[in-house]
Amino acid sequence: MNRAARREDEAPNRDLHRAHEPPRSARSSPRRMRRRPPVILIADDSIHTRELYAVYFQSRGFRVVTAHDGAAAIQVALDHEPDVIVIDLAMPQFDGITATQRIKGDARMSRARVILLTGYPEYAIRRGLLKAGVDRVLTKPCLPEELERHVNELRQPKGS
Amino acid sequence: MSPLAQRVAAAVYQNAPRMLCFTCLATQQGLKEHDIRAVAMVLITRAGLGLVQRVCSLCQRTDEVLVSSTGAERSTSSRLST
Repeated sequence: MNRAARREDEAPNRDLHRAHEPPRSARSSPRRMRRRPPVILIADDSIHTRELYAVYFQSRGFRVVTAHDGAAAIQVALDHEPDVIVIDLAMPQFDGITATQRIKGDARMSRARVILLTGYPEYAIRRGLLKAGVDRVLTKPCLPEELERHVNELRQPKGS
Repeated sequence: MSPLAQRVAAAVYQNAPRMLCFTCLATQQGLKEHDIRAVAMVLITRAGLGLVQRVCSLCQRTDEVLVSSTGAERSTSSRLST
């Protein structure tokens, strides 16, 4: 078992590792019709933060996968193809920006929405994070309810 | 809780009724602001601290501050009464 990619929920993972699938764009409509729960990746090196967000989003109907560093975040994202990625800026191995760039560099993940959490309030301005593929930058501490509001906004189709 | 979280929580309680923004709290404790922000959510959810917009007792800027729950209630009450 890949320890770097610890899943928080214990639901059967039959639909997690799908072989021989069509591209994400081609299967988006059928998947939506099946009403699969939205998948969210929580990538943070703090186990307390991961657990807190995981428990909250599970209670809100999400399927949650987690990663404890940047490398694991990339691997978990490509394995599970989450709809939304919540990623910490400062993590071991790869920081949140590098991990986002690598994740978004994969064609399957180009449409995933990314929220970057940072304890550096001015960081977004300095680094031009939006160009790296980050959709939103939130400053810590970000309470679960506030994070969910942003997640749900990003899950809305563009233009709606 | 981690030792860092315990230290920050203790500082917040010791500072009460004064309320320090993250920047001033970090300076006071000799810590990095992003480290305090990183543990803040755990303190809010598990140590009974609150996150409110207040005027920092040191720099006088209006910003988010960590407060003990009793301090938050007191501050809210005083604000409502004015």
